[in-house]
Amino acid sequence: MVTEAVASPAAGRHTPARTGFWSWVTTVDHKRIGALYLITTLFFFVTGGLMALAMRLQLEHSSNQVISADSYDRIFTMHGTTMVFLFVVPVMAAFGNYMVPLMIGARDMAFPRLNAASLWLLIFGGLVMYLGFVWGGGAADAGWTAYPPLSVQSPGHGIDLWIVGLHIVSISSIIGAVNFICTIHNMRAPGMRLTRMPLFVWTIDVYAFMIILALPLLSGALTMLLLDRNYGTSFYAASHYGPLLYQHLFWAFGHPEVYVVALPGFGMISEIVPVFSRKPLFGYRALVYATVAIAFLGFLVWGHHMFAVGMSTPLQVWFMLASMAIAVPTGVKIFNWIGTMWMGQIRFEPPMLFATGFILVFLIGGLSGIALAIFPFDLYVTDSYFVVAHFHYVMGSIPVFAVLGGLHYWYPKMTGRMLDRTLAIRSFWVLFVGFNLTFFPMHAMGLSGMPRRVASYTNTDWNVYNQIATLGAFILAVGVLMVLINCLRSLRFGRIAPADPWGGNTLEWYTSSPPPPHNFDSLPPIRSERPLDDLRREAAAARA
Amino acid sequence: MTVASRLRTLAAAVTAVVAPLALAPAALADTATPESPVGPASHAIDNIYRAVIGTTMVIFILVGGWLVYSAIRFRARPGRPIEPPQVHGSSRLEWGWTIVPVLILIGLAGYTFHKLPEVKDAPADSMVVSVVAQQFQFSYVYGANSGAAEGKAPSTATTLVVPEDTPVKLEVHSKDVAHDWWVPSLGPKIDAIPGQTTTTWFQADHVGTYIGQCAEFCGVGHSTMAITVKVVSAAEWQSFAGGLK
Repeated sequence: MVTEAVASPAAGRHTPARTGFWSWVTTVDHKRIGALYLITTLFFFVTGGLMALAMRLQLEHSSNQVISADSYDRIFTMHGTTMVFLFVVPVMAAFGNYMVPLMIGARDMAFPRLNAASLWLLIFGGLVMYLGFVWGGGAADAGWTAYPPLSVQSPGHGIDLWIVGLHIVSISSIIGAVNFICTIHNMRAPGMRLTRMPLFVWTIDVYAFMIILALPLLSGALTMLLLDRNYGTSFYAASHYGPLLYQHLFWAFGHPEVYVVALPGFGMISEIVPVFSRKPLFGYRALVYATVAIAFLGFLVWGHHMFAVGMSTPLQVWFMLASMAIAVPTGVKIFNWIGTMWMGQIRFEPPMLFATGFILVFLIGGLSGIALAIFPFDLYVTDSYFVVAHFHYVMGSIPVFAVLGGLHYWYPKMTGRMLDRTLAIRSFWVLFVGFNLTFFPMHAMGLSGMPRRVASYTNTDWNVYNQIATLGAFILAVGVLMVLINCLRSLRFGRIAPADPWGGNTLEWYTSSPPPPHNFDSLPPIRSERPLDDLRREAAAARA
Repeated sequence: MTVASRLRTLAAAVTAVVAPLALAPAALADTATPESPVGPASHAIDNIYRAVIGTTMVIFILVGGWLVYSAIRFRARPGRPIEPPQVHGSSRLEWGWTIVPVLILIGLAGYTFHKLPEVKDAPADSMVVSVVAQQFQFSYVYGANSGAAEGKAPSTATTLVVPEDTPVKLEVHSKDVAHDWWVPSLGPKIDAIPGQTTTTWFQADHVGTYIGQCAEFCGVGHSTMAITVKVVSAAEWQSFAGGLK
């Protein structure tokens, strides 16, 4: 058995880092920036979640009048925007910032100051978006998709603030992406070829390329929207087919954005599953090819969001076939994860529970995605709650199961403390039950005709589904609360974490927990994608 | 643990997972399917849906079952060999689970193409109705092939009255922002986009009143933007259309 930790000589005897408030504000250390990123994005996760609870309270019953239609519209707009732009995309940058330099054996990111800038721009951009709640006539109210002419006609400055805020957040994401690419391609430790890079680093690399390719489309589309709203331009005038132009631009960005979110989540699962199965990743290369294939195809399928706009049949057929094609590399990922578990010796520590839960839940989202790609059926369910169910099974399972799995996996490395194992396992089951209770009934709502984005409804047949979903949402909220309490409490009371609590494979487990400011005193030789496993084997062989 | 008791635990676990899934379709026959379809387009959608849901259910049970089985069967426990086989992959298996999904998807796409004309193509002799969407109501004007009522609006402008067993082609416009016309029982939905005319069609097999609502977010009154389609018998239609002259 090769389990005993192989830690670097430096582990445990580094000089303490500077402390105090200003040392955090002015920090350019990728680990501190990563931690601040994590706190920021978790804050936005909680605010986005509270908005979701308000919506679920309103929709709990057809007779409810908890919030007005006007407030409801602002809340669902900001819920979507918050979750996509201020949580799921940047939370990947949080883990990317903290983990990528450690996983490739680097001292820091390539551009530490740029890194700090992307953090502070994210916070600033988010606050600009939220400013609409208190100033300028209410927050944005045209949905996270902001289709014109509605978004052009919307009075007040909510949408203007939303656009400017999104621009700032986009700059943050793009400079972050440049930083990731430069770091990953220039700063890997000797011996770490691309084919030996941890899968999470691969996915962050692809994530960064996708951000650079996709986000400018959004920035262009939103700039024209801002000009149409305020300066009398007519980019989106109905007489020029402008409303349709915007939808194409938005979704040409919007669909790649889904994979911007999904791929690093897949990366986290690809780190967790082999460690807790005590086996190498089944088909490392296939998983890398699948990542790149998903990213490439992700740019070719945006029209499946627009099947009902009166698109010609040949175009619909193209978007259907291209969307279905994505199921193939996604299937490869799922099969290779299960292949990694097969014949393994699986320890169901909290990260592995989250990872297994993720695979099961994501499978449902992937399969409903195939249904939605089939456009005659999509014409029935698009813009209904079926779509809401689908994208929460995809975009929602990533943060709830993959990212929280990653959090449970790396928390000991980041803080030097272990999370409470019992509480972590309980919170997983609460989240799993809450998640499925919330989102599964939404398939039935959509099939029985409930459109999305309605502030109220009159069809009493939908009450029961909505009541289950609302109950589920509160259970989900309890689960999130349990995770947050565990994280806060363990900071002080958690068991001291060793350098390598899980028997990890990758370099971040070689240094102390938490790592010293300079990360590593020395590095082990890197001869495979599992340098620490190699080291343990050598140590065992030397003893034998 | 003996082999027998281990197998019993395994069987219980697999039953616990598979049984609800197997029973679900029967228990949810109504909730798990589209609204009762009443025309060729909605029947075709229903057929496609059943083919897709059937296929994906089988995939879910197989793959989900494989996952749950692996999780239970290969969990670490005392007494099992310590070092699992360090397998790095298998080209044959990986090609297999790349090609099989491709074949399944080709099958689904083929079935969709087979059913497609019923969803997409309005018969040439369809009765034409022009739909005008604006915040927050739909109104209707009769066009070609509608009997005597051409150029007229139904007496209540917001309730569309059509005869049964007659193909109806909708030409949809919007006066302000994007909307979407959707009556679930009648089948597909269609966006109303300012500056464009979009079309869809339906044919109702049964007399009755069918309810729908706007499906594209259009502002503060979106959830109140109702659609009512009243399908009447041929005789009733004659007198109704006559009254519109």
